Amino acid sequence: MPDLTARRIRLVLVDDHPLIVRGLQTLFAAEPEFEVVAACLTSADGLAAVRAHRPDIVLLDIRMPHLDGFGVLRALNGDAVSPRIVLLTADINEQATLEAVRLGVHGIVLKDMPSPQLLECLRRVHAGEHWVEQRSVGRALAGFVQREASLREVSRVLTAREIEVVRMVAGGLRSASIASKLHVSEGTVKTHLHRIYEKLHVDGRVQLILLAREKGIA
Amino acid sequence: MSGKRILVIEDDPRVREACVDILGELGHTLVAVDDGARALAEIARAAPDVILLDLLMPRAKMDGLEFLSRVATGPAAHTPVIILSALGETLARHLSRDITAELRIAAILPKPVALDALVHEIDRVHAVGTSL
Repeated sequence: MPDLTARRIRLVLVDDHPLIVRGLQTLFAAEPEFEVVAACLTSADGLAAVRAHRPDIVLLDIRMPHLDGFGVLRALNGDAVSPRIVLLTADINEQATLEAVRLGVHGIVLKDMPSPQLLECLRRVHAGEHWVEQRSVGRALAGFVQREASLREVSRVLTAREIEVVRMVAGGLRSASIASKLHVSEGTVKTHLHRIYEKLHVDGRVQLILLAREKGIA
Repeated sequence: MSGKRILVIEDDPRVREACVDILGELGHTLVAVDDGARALAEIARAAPDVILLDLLMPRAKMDGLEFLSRVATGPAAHTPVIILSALGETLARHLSRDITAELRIAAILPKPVALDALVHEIDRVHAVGTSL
């Protein structure tokens, strides 16, 4: 029988929920091929532990106070050498998945994933593979590129200030609030809006919001 | 066909070096960088004829997605871009011809990149422009 402790997969756990951390510690204690070298309840402690222990993999919660999982990823990307990262999350949408992949995560696992799958994910990530739902990332990537294309198309028609106004309208701001943010009069905002309606061939605010959402410039 | 100036933006040194070696042997002039920010600096010096772009470069100051946004306002705004991506097939499936034309995306090649397909696409870009 191979000695699974000969080269253990060294882990740092970072999650602000003590119960989750305790549960993971119990899980890995029963698995001889894994070794938890540090279990941290804050991102600051997590960063310090990663730099001190140089683990193979960091199992990292996304939502944490002060510095979230993405902030930890950015900090580690600035280091000369960084471990493989597996994000641990209760749920994640396509945008956050894309952001995680852009920051170089090797795996994303849901907290309700059965333990054997989590262990399999860690084994594969340790072997150099990725454990991320590729179709979801692909769709998010395509969405990003699509928004960029729409923005370029709109940029040929609208000025930078007009695009700023469109974003604010699509964000739900009224003319008075936009005027206040841009340090101009409400009349100036209405003039901008009138020109925007003409250039984009829309009848009013509702159509503009719909168009902005469709083109991803909201 | 005369050699072209090709800018490679790719954080994987193996892919970068393979592009430089193979396309260089075919008579093209290659400039290879691992960061979108360095790519913009190269473009400011001399605009390339073709850009080979990796979209996801986690350790770069500027990844390929951000580069795609920034390049629109510079001297390479109309330079055809060939995207190299592990998600290439999914990406190509989701992007319409209008979108790729707007962004001057001439081709999307999945990784691992088949070098003969890359050579073919570069030749095609020279011959027919940038449509997918």
